[in-house]
Formats: sequence, C-alpha cells, structure tokens
Amino acid sequence: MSSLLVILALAQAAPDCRKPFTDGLAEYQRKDLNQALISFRTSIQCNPKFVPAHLAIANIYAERGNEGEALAALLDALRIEPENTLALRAASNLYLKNGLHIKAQPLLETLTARTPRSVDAHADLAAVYAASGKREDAEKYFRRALELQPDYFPALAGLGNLLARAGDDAAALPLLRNAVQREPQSYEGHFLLGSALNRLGQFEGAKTELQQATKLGGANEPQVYYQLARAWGGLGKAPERKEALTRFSELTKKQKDDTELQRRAATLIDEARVLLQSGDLANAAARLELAREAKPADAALLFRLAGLNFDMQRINVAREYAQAAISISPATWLYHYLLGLIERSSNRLPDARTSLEMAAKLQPTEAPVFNALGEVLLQQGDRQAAITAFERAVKLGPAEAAFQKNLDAAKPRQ
Amino acid sequence: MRALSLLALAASAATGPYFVDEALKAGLKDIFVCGDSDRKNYIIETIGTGAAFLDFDNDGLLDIFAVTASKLDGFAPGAEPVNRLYRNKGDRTFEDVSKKAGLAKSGWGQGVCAGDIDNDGFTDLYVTYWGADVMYRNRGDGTFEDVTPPGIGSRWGTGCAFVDYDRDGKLDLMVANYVDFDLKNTPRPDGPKPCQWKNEKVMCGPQGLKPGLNRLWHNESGPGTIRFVDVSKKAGIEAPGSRFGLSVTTLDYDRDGWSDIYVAVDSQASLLYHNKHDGTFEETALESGVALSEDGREQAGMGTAVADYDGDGWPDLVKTNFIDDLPNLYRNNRDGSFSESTSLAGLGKYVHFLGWGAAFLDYDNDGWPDIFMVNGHVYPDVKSGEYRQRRILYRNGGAGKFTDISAAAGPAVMEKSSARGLSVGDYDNDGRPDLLITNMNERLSLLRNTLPAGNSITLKLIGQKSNRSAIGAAVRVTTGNRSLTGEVRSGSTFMSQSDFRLQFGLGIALKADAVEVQWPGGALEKLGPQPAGRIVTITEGKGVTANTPYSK
Repeated sequence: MSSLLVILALAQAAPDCRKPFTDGLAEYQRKDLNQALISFRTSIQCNPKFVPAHLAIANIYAERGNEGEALAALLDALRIEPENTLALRAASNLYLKNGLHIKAQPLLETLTARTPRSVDAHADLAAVYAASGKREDAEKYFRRALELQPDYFPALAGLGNLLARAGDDAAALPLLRNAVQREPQSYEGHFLLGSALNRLGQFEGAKTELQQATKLGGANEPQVYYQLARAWGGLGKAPERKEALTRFSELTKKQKDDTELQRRAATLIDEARVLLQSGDLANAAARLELAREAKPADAALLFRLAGLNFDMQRINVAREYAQAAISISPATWLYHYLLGLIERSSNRLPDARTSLEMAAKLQPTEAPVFNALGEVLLQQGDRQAAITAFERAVKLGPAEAAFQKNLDAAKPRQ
Repeated sequence: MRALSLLALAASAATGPYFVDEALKAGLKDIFVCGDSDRKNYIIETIGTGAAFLDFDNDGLLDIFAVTASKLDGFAPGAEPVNRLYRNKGDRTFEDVSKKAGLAKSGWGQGVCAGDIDNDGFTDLYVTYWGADVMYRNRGDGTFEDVTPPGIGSRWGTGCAFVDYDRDGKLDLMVANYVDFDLKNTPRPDGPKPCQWKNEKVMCGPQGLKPGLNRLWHNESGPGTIRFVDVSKKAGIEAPGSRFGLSVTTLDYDRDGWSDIYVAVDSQASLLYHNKHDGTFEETALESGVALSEDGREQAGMGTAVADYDGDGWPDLVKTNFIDDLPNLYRNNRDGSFSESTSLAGLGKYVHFLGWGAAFLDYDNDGWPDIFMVNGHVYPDVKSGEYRQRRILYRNGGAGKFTDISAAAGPAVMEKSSARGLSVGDYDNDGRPDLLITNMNERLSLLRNTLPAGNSITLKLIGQKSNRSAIGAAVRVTTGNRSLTGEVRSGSTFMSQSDFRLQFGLGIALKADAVEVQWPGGALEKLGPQPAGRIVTITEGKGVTANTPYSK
C-alpha cells in the first residue's frame, strides 16, 4: 500500500474536514503513526463517507501488521465505494495472504473488470481459481496476465504449476524455467520447478532447484524439504533423504504447534467468557493471561485483561494491560476510556483527564465518556469544564438519570 | 506383450456401456440409511456405510452383505433399518436371508470385513459400528452367531481388515476408529458455535474433534472358542497416537512375506504399519512417502486400494481424498518407498470430486488393473459442492497412464449419487469383475460388467497351514512375457469387502502359462499352465482341487 499516500495526498476532503486529514498525512510522513491515526479518525467523524481517510487508516494498520483492523477499514471503504480499486486491491491482498480465497474471489472479479489491464489482479484471480479447483478459469486468467506482461513472474510460476499438476509437463517446464530466470532470487520459482522435475523423475535437476530454494528463503518452508526428500530418494541417497524428512517433520511440527497455540488461546478466551458470566473473575483473568501467551499482540485480549483486573481492583496490572492495548491500537477510544477510568480510580487525575479527553476526541458520541470526564474535571476543580462535559453526556444519553444528577450537582446553586 | 496390446486396442475401441446397474432387477431394493437425507448436523451422519461381496454358503456364488446406519431422531419401533444379507440365487438375482441368517441387526453400522476366523471353511464377518462393533461367526448352516470379543468397547469403528500379521495361521483383525465422538458436546450447524465450510454453516469435524485410536486384535481362538486379544499397544499400533482413521488395507509392500497395514486417515497424515516379523509394527508412512500429498500436505484420506498397476511385480497404492484435492497414486519404488505418480499417471485432472471407495479392477481383462472410484459430498445442503457426484472409471493404458472413460462406460458409471462403499467381485461368474456400491440413504448399485472383452482366469485360494481364507497370499500369473500379480485381502476400498478370489485378465491369451502362490504361511507353490475362462481352486499344498468354467 506504499503508493497509497500519493493518491491520498491528492484526495479532496470536504472543506471543514480537510484539516484533520492533511494533518494526518503530515503526521504519517513524520512517522507519527499514532497521531496520524487519530487525525484520520477525526476526519472520518467529520465526514464518515470520506473514503481516503478509511484507506489511510487501513494503510497504517497494515504497516503495523494489524491486518484485522486494516481489513475492517478497507471493508468500510468498500461499503462506501464498492468499486474502489485501491480498496479492492488491498482487501483482496489481505484475504489472499490469510488463505481466504473465497472472500478474495468476488473482490478480484470486480477488480479485473474495473482494471482490465491489471496484470497482478488477473494473476491473483487465476491463483484463486486454481486454489478452488477451477482449473480452466485459472488457466484463462494466468494466460491473460501473461498477455499483458509476458515475463510476469507470478503468472509464469502459477501457470507452470497449474499445468505441471495436470500432468502437462511439456508445457509446464518452459514456463517454470522462465519464471526462475525472471526472478532467480525467488525461492518459490525454484521450489515449483524442483517439484515439477520431481514429478517427471528428473531428480538431479529437482535436487539442484530445491537446494537453491532452501538458500533463498525456503529454509523455513516444510514443503521445500518434503520435495527435497523426494529428490534425494529418487537419487538413491537414503541419508540425505532422511535428513530432509527430519527437517520437514521439525518445521511441520512447529507450524502445528503454533496453530495449536492459537486454537488453545481461542478456547481459553471462550472459557474465560463463561467464567466471567458466572462471576468468577479471578479464574477468567487467569485463562486470559494464559491466552495472552499465545496472542501477545492481541489488543482486544489485552483490553479484556485490563477490564477484568480493574474489576478486581488490581489497578497497577489493569493499567499495564490498558496501556499495552493502546500501544497496539491507539485509535480505539474504548481503550483510552478504560485507562481513564483506571487512572481516576487511583486518583491520578491528570492522567485520567488526558485519557478521557482522548477517548472523547476519538468517539465524540459516547455519553459515558463525557460523564466520566466531567467527574474527573470536577475533582480537579475545573467546574465550568465539568459542566460542559456533563451537558454533553446528558445530550448524548438523556435517558441516563446519573448524568443529569451529576450535571445538577455541578451547577452552582441559585 | 503384443497380444495384450492388441487386446488393449480392441478394448479401447469397444462401444459401451461396459457396466449396467442391475440392482433393482436383482432384487436389491432396500434403502441403506446414514443420518438425515437433507441435512447433516453431525459428522456421524456423513461417512455412509460399507458392503461386502462374499460367498457365505460356499455355493460358489458371491452373496452380498450390506451395512446400514440409522437416523439420530430414530425410527418407529419395528421400522428400524437393518443390515442385510442377500443370497445369490445363481440367476443374477438375490434373496434377502438376513433374518434367517441372524444378521438383521439395527444400529449405527459402518463398515464390514470378512475372513474365516476359525478356519472352518466358512467366511465370518466383522461389522464396525458407532457403538460396539460386532463379530459374527458363520456356523456353516446359513446362520451366524455373535462372537464379539469382550473389551471391544464402544467406539466409532470404520474400516477393518482381517490379516494374519504373525503368520500363525489364524486371522487377526485390524480396526480403524475414526473419531472419539461425543454427540452432546459437538456443535451443530444451527447452534451457537457452528462450523463453516466455504462460508456456509456445516456440521463440525473431524478437525476440532478428538481422533480415535486404531486397534489390532490378535486371534487366540482355540477349538470351539473364539478369542481375540487387544495387542494394539504391544504391537506398536498405538505408537503414532490417535488419528482420524477411515479405511484399512493390508499389503506386503516390501515383499518380505509379512503383511503390512495401511490406514487412510482423514485430515492428518495417513499411516503405514511396517511388519517387523516379531509381532510388532513400525509406522513408516512418512519415510515411505505415503503419509501426505506430493506437496507434503496432510490430506483427508478416505478409501484405498492396492494393485500392481505398472506391471513391475510390486504393489502400488491408490487413495481417495476430500474435495479440492487430488487422489493419490503411490507407485512402489521397490525399495520400501513409494513415489507419488498421480499427475504423471493422469489422475490429476479433477479436484471437484470427493472420493470414497476406490478399487483396482481389470474391467476389460487386458492384464492392466484399471481404477474405479465412487464419489459424493458430505454436505447435502451447501451451495459450494455437489452432494451427488458421478463415479469414475479410469482405464489403464498399460504405460502407467490412466484415462477417464466413464462416459463410454455407460450411464451406470455416469449416474450421480452420494456414494461411499465399493466392492469388486464377479457375482455372475462370467469372468468379468462387477461392482457393488453403497449410496447415502439410497439403495445399492450393482454394476454388472457387460463388456465382451478379453479372457481371464479366476483363482480361488484355500489355505491349509495358512489361514483358510488365504488372506495375504501373493499370486503371480505368467502369460507370454508378462507377469501379473495379486494378493488376497480383507477390507480395503472404503469400509467394504471385495471378493477373495483373484481375477487376472489374460487378453487374447487362452491360458496362463504358470501360476505361483506364495502362501501367507511361507510356502511357495508352483503350478503349470491353467486354461483361461475358468475358476480354478487351489488348495495349499494340494494344487488345483477344482476347476469350473465361467458361466455363459
């Protein structure tokens, strides 16, 4: 998404909303991503249908590796402009990266229709078709991509692999060899060529390509070692075959362990939810802390932990979790709100005020945020600011008697 | 070679249909049930049931035993579906003798395998269940008695096979158990935590459920008593841990004279138990190249079959898998390992079939084993996959290449059903292999082979020192400059049992020049020329003891 900002810079926001957006761009260029996120969110609050701001937020989240938030922002953009090519491209990329081919498919179909000369869109759609067994469609789109750009590596490799799997090795091998020539530093090309040579029983050539693949980034890919074992086996080299299989098993086990860790984390979170519902806060927190070991950068999980510890009056622990959640997802108002409540409870009023003001800025429609801010301001002796905050809370949540009561109490007696 | 090639040309030019579904004409009208027809809430409703071709009354005609499961919401008393035994009347029709035989049992039946467990000359049965499996002893008078060993327990048994793994002359038993299934704690598609397949809510499993453990039972029966002892742990069967095991196939893949065992596993690596000759096994699937796909991925293995498809004298292996994947054709490298030859052999064409039963059969008697596969999805109500799928007949062109000739083979092959079990056997004794197919919540399909092509010879083996069913016997038939090989086996395909008799296509040759039998007890028996067009009975140590012409 690096080219995104050029386009975003040219985007025209509504005059009133221009400032936060341009502020955000400047902050992004200064690498102040947290502030940039806040500015882009402010821009969206000003004009919720301003697609460039959604795309900018997606860009920042994607850069930070927070793909869930990035995708959410892109889908917001697509709800506003279903044929926005930038959003289609970026969202389909995220889906493909996570193996969600079915979700990527309609986006890529729209994208190829909108951008008939886009090589990568055609090649990606072909790859999606190949993964779902639509061999003829896959071949058609790979070939279209190669018409657009005859040396496009993903299309050469993809079509070569497709044909090799269908047993059409005569057609596959030149494509795969061409792919390797185009990108000799890509492990994938060597891997696919090596695999095809294995299928053909050309084990010496396969071994060479697969060994090259291990040197070019394929060293952590179990499939490379599986193919290498096949090649060594074909060459009658039992010890080398065994060694490759051992490496394959180690890497596979690691992948499985990681997956199991994630699955276990999900189970622990489910268990925590049930415990929470039954009022067993301590055990719920213990489950979540175990889950955190598997998902250390999951902001939502950290937020839950902060909330639970706050409920149990473990203020210092709660603060640490809330701050950690904010460091991962600084534009989420709820995290700032919780931190504000935590700080207020420990009488750290300036910190509480800062957090609650940030929450109010990020989400100016949440009555409880303004009510909490009013309470802090009142404690600090800033009665006029407190009244303003309570008035906002009452306006946003007129049905909540506590807000009105706070407002009445804050107003000077006549 | 030249004669066989000429025949191959003739067969490829023959006009179909090669197979005709004669189930209704044969009187096979009963419906075999596995869960609800339109909606599958649990995995238990999806894998269907198996069937067997066996000659239970030793009249020389193949009978049929078919297993049924049930529905989770049950049936009215007296209306429960039951397992069926159909006796072959010799005129291509069958009569239902289930009740008389004592086999008309209801329950959640799954698979079946056959073998003579007490060496009395009559074929016995083992039926797997979700619940407790049942072992039936054939009394020899048309009836069976329940001789289920104590300790079978309640599991979800799927594929099974009798095998004399320690060569003591008595058939032991290998059983795959699929899922340690807990109905109460398994999410439903319409529940709060449904599972998804291609964005549609579906039943859950097997991933996320607890896998089952394969069991090996050692036959310690004595005169008048049937006794099987669970030796799974001692024999190394438990060593790989629990797996989603489905079909069980026995084969002597390294030709050392000791039976090895292959288990096709769903969603995990499949298992190859190498027989160490001392009553134990070592799991070697990964090292042997039959655990995973050619990319090193775990697959959803379903059915398996074994034959020497490339004519090199070594047994090769075929396995069906889930949709969006290819089947596997594993070619034996003759060094204890296999190479995946799926695409090279022409089986890389389709990924939209969800395969179950698989079998090698030489439908055109040209001396090259062809492949038959039955298919069908597990979800009847999803938009992303076809529940009813056609069958596939791959013709072996003789050079390690297969061609899909299903359309030419006729409407019975192209017919769509959600098929599961598959058995091969020549039920009309005409020298051409026929097929028996189980279909989800439908009647059986009985595909009679009508192709007028090629000569063949059928060998029926009777063990003496070896187990009476001769399971594990390896046969080599020489004709011209070719050697054809086969092995008697129990189980295989998908939860089903095929004919014990071995049929060898001889092309236009009028005789087999020589026959060699390597009996499972270790003896090698060599026989001279045998004429084509006959069912030849060979008794261990006695040579040919019967010789019957094929029916017209």
